[in-house]
Amino acid sequence: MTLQPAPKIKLAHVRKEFGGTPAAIVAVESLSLDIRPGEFLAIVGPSGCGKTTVLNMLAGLEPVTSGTMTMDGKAISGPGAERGVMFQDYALFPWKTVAGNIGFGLEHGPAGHGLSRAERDARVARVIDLVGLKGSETKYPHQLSGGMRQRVALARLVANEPEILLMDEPLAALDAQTRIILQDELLRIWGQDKPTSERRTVVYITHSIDEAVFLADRVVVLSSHPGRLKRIVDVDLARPRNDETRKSRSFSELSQTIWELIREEAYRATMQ
Amino acid sequence: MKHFLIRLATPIILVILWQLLADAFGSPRMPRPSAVVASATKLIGSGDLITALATSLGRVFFGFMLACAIAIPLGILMGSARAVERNLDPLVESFRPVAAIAILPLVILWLGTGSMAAIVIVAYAAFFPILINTIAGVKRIDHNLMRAAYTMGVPPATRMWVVLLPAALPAILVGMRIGLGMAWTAIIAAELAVGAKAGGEGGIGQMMFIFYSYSVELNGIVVCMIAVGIVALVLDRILRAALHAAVPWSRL
Amino acid sequence: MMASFGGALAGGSAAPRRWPAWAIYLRTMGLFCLLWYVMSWLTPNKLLLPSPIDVASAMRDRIEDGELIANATVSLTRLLISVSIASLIAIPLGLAMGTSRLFEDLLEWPVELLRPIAGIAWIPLALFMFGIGNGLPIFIMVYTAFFPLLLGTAAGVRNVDRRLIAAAKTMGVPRGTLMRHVIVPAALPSIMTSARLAVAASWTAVVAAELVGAPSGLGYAIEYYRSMLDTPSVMTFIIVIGVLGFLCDTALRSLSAALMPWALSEKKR
Repeated sequence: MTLQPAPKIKLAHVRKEFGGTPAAIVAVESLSLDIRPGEFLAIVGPSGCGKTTVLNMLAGLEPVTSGTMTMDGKAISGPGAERGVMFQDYALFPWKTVAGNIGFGLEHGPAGHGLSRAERDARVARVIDLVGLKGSETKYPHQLSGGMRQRVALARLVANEPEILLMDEPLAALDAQTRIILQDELLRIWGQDKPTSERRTVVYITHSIDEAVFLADRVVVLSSHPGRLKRIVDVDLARPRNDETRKSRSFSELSQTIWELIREEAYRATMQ
Repeated sequence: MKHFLIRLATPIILVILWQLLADAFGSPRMPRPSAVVASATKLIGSGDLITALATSLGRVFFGFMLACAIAIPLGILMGSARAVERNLDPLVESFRPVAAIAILPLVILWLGTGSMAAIVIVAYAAFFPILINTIAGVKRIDHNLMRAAYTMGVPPATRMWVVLLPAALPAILVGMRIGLGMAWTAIIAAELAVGAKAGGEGGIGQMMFIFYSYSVELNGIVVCMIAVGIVALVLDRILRAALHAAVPWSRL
Repeated sequence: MMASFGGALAGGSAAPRRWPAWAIYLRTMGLFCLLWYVMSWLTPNKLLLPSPIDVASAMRDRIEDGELIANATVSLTRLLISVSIASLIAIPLGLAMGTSRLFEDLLEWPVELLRPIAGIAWIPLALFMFGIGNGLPIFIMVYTAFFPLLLGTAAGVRNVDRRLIAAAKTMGVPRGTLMRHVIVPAALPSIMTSARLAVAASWTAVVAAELVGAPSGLGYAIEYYRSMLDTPSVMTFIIVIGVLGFLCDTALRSLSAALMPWALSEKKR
């Protein structure tokens, strides 16, 4: 990295407590981090490291206790359509069809402002095509498999075209094969074949180290109780990444490096 | 604290408003809090209110026990034996939508207007909620619980006592709670209707009707209504406490 | 699965798996009518227990003289009006109670204090307020339907999946839209369930109210024919009350299914 663009999102000394004083639990402690425009940033850590809390703060769903969190220099004070979220366990509207869920933000939120009905429908159709849900447009979420629901959630996020995509363990609930397929699709949709300037910024929470290494440009490793920044690991694997990447030596070495960083704490976490 | 004060304030303000509006605009007959309190003191002091409530509660007690004695065993049978359920379900579904008060004229015809008729009405009103919840409770039991007992060699009759009944108990008690509420409503309706059409003998419902038709003592009616509400609340709390005490493992 | 332990309790009932539900219905009700017939045949005073045939002919008479249709129409109209009024008041209030702490604080205690007083217990006071006519049954029924609707709506709103609200917020959806397109649909199953309870309770209350204080309707008809000692007609009207109550519930269930095509088909009951 020779040229450093201005950070898209900047976290400075962010601290998050839950519960009242004096019994407050510190979830995140003095976290400082720059998120660059167009980068795919993964956050990993043992359970209890506050990964999801960080994401919720970025989404504006939780306020920071102290410190600052800014996007393009402006403080993040609440949810906004420029920061889209894909939730871990789907959060699909059960009363909306696949197309209704994907078009929800376009129909009711600012993402659809200035778009005609036809333009919105075209966008929804395009995204449905992109995630491979063609033919399921009129189905309801309860009629879909886990993998298909996850595709709907991803399509809903993509359809709104947010500047930042915040994803909270989006593939955690899936079986191993579906995960791998969706990882490949996720990179394609993100635009790994395009230059960095045309990619959107992604913050991706996962507990799977392999997944983080495969997807991300940089992996943020957190330690737990409270969540602190342990290390930022640059992933210099060539793009586009594919099955060859998964088999490569440098892929396993990077995974191993990160595993060394969190191994001790991860073992400790299983004992609790 | 702030929330508690707001909660406390609304009922008090409403009562004061009621008093002020009745004083300012109402006819002298219109009930108002001050007169209701006076009337309540008189009715409690003379023992009339307590006697009437005791009469109604006694009818509810016997009718409710009768309903439990039939509905719970029948519900267990219907819930555990598919063939019995299939054959009896048409009768249950046909009679369930018929309100207890609707069969009152028939019951009066058969049993007169005394306590026997009241007990039957109460039993009918409480019967269906208890039966239906018992059936549902028995059917919802995790099959593996019964299988676990089976594989441990527990004989069938014992299985019913140590697995089926405890597992269905929360649902049965929920049914009893709903049934008791319906029984209390039904006795008021029955006593009111009987008070309106025939002699009858006592009870809070009839007391209300007598206040209406003979003395036009509206404050007395309001006292009776409040008494009806308090009894309903107390009955509900008792069954809720029973539910907690009897099924400490349930999170209901 | 039930048969594994059910068989021991049921004894040797010939489980007729081959019989469809309607056939079993007809068989059971046929046996019931037969039993009824025999009982009435054994009863010396036909006034006490008329036979099913007497009731059938009374039903034909009441249909022919128009009494049945007229009174059923009156009661059903009152039900429709009352439940509509109760819904128009209770559902918006329930939405407010579920979303606003202030509304909850304001309404909680008055509601909890009034709710135990059964609608039927209002009849004497309502007789004084409205006299005999349409006002009394409608007041009693609105009151009866109000509480289940209010509390069901409020509980439905409080139980809305927080993640769905969060998801909509992250899409920048404004407050009004959030209410209309997220909270209300998510609370709808609970609202519809409470509507079914409200209609059932209201239908019970209409009979009681008409029995005492209305010059028309099914409750009035029962009482009228009882005073005429026309037991077969009394039974006719009891049957009509049951059938209409059942049909109202069936209609509401179909309405639920039509309003909520996304919901898994609700189990019977």
